[in-house]
Amino acid sequence: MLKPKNDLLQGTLALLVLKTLVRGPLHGYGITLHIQLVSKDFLRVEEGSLYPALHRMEQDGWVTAAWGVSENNRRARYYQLTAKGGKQLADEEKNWERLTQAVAQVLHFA
Amino acid sequence: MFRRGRLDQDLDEELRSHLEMRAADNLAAGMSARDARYDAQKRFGNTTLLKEDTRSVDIIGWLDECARDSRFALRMLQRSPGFAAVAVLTSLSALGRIPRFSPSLTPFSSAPCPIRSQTVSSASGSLPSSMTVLATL
Repeated sequence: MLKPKNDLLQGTLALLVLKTLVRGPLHGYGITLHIQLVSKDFLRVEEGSLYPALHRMEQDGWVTAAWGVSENNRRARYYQLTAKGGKQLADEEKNWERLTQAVAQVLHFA
Repeated sequence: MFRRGRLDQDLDEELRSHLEMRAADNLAAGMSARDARYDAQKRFGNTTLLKEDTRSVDIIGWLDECARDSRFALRMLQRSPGFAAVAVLTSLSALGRIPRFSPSLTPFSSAPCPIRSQTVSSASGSLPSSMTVLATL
């Protein structure tokens, strides 16, 4: 059911993107690279699903976006975490921990 | 419509910049120029679908913003009823004058005074209905 190598569940994607942006503003491509790198290639963001998610987060006020210039002198749209996004991240991290703990408890029972 | 065109342009440019960065990295990793572009496009998947998804998110946000703006405008009008009344009367008289003016364009035109009094009385008569139109926005 879960294909961690190819795509991520939508909610998990938001969590990972918000967490990535804690380090500072970043463009969409940079976000995919960061997630892939830090997870040692285990998590690969489906690039198509990233942009609707980013724009939704922008509408929800979790991030703001502004055009900037990348390290390779390319124009790119940089996303920055807002205070509201930071609060959302804290909530989602808590949920994630509760979820993984609950799954672990079931797995370790018996 | 203007705003929508700008949203589309922004999205196109954002996606293009992503594809270019991926292709450049592929090229640096040793792929041929053709493979580098092909791989970047493949990772993206269905661009049309993706654009539609993203655009619909943007448009919903834009509609929300419009609704917020008109609610704000309405609140401001409520806060200054005098200005609101003058604004509504002015627009109504401008709208209402058009059919009434045409007979006065004939050579046997009447004096402008009756026109003004007619306009004002009809404007105050239709005031409630135009207020509801504003309120349903």
